Parts: sequence; structure tokens; C-alpha cells
Amino acid sequence: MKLLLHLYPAWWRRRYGAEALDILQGRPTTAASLLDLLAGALDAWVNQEKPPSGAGESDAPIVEGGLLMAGNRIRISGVSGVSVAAALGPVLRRNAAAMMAAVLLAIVPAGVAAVLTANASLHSWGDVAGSAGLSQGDTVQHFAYGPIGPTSSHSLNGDIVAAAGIAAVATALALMLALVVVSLASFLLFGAPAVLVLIGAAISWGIQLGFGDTTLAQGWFAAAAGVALLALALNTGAALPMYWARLSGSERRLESRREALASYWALYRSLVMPACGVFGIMVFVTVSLLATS
Amino acid sequence: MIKPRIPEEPDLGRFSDPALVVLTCIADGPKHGYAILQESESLGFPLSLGTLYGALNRLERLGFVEALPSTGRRRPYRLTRTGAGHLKSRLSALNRVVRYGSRKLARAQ
Repeated sequence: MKLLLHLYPAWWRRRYGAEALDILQGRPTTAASLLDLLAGALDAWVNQEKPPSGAGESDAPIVEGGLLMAGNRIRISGVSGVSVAAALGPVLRRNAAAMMAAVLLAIVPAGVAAVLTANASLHSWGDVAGSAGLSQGDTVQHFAYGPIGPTSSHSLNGDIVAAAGIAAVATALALMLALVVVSLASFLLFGAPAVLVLIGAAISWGIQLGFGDTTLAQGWFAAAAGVALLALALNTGAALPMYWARLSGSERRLESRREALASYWALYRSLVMPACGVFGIMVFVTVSLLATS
Repeated sequence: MIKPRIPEEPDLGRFSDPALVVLTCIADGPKHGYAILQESESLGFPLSLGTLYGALNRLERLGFVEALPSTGRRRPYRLTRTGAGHLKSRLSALNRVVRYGSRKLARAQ
């Protein structure tokens, strides 16, 4: 039973741990009390927060390796009616440096790639491959986002809207799932794959921007890809403290990992998922434009 | 639409009843967790450990109870003025429900 208390957040153990242990030792262990403890641990991580300090308790935040880890929990479901925005504030502040770093990791390579592509007068992926010496004498025109559809235009009808809607929902869900998979898979490799994917996607997007001269649908597609890149950057930024916790080898390692994971989920739900939703909407518009052009 | 006369209360979710039990247990003076558990049992609404601290955490954040310096491993909790006001209005509302329900039952029999 004592071990179960380790499932609770650190602040909870500091606040209630000694007394809870005292109570546990004086009472019989039953299946119901075991389940109650487990449910209480989940509740403590998800819905409880450290109360205002008092009674001689330390309020010192947990700082490790230069990154301020989550010493407090945010409430994910609004048990006491605090708005999501207000609850998100502290987590955002704690993870601001990591989020900013990830956004810069996307913006800088994308900007450099866009400027280089534009200055080199490259207008297609074929040109890029040619300038990199990957293809010779390739005269096939590669369009930035694929060939523009048939020349005859169609009016927006129910079929197009339904197809665009399905495409939007499917791509948004796929992006949400892919981002979680990338983050969790990268955890084992200290975040390297996630960072590389972010930089690679940013460079690709920047090159694409550098081609210039796009149609309206291509412009929307580029914007949608930009939103997807933003979602990837936010997702990577939210996960950076988690990777850092894996790298750091202090005795608080497990605790830091748990707190970083909880922060990641909070940011994923509050920022990454809405960004994926916006991506879905932009896919909807793009598909509709492509189908009617 | 008729507004309920039961006073508006903070959304404590499934911790609403345990919170009421905790407030009732400490109404006559500060008590630590173990004493609250024991009193809740004698009251007929036994609290389990996870539920007790879940309720205490919410009540502390709402300012209804405050923690006092711990004595050994135990930390007493005291009802605040706000908490006392909340408990009073809750009990009064419940009293009205009890009286109203009892009158209806009596008429039906």
C-alpha cells in the first residue's frame, strides 16, 4: 500500500503523504481501499492542484537542468470551474522556453530554405533535385503541389462537400495520431526523431514556399501545410521537457518524467489538437477549391 | 423557469457529498485526516483515503478549510469563515428538502 503512494504527484506526497501513510498503516487493506487509492492517484494527477501554501510547506519549484519542470498540476477537466485558458497559463509559462525553441526550430530552417530556393530561382522539386545533382536532364515539369486538375470547373455540390469533409476529418485525426506517435516513439531516442522530423518538415515547407507563383488552391494548401508544421512545432515543444527528463539522470528523474508527460498531454490537448482542427478546416477548403477549379 | 432555492454551490463533482461530510466533521473544531475518517464512519458516511484527500484538496483550494501546522505526521484542518457559511447554507437547503419531502410522504400515506 505504501508503494501506491508513489503513484501520487510529488506535491501531493509532500502535502498529504505522511498523514496518508499513517492512516494506511493503521487500517486493514481491502480491494476497495486499493482501488480507491488508485483512483485517488489518477484524480490527483488530473484534477487536483497544490493548494495555497500554508502550514510550513515549501513552495520551491522543481528546477532541473535549466528547464523549469512542472511542479504544479493543471486541471484538465474543470472541476472547480476554472477556465481552460486560466489553467493553461501556468503550464505555458513553465514550458515557454521549450515551445519557443521548437517554433524557432521550425521557423529558421523554413525561412532559410525559402530564401535560398527563391534566390536560386528554383520553381519545382525537379529543379531542386537537379540543382542538388540528383537528376540530370529531367525535363518533366514537377508542380509544387501536384498538377492542377481539369480545366473545366465544377460547382460546389453535396458530393464535393462530403468528400472534402471526410478528407478534412481524416487528415486532422491522422495528424493528431501521427504527432502522438512521433512524440512517444521519440521518447526512447531522447527526442532526436521528433526534432529531425520537425527540421525536415520545416525545410520542405520552406522550399515549397520558395517556389512562389501559386494558384489559390496551392496557396491554401501551403497554408494548411504551414498549420500542420505549426502543430508539429507545438507538439515537439510540448514534448521537449519530456525528452529532457529522459536525458537527465538525477534522483528525481521518474518524478520529472511523470510531470513532463502530464504537461505534454495538457499542452497537446490545449494547443496541438486545436491546431490539428484548424489544419482539417484548411484541408476542407483546399479540397473544395481543387474540386471546383 | 423557477430558480431552485438550494444555494448555488461550487462544482465539486463527485466530491460534493464527501466535501459536505468533511465540513460537517470539522465544524466543531480542527481535526486531522485520521480523525475525520473515524468521525465519518460513526456518522454513517465512511470516507476512504483517496476520497478524503480529494475532498480536502478541493476544499482547501476553495478556501473552505485551511491546514494548520502539522503535529508529528498529522496535519489538522480548520473550517474557515467562508467554509462555515457554505456549510450553513448547504445544511439549511438540505433541511428544507428533508422537511418538504417528509410532508409529502406523510400526505401520501
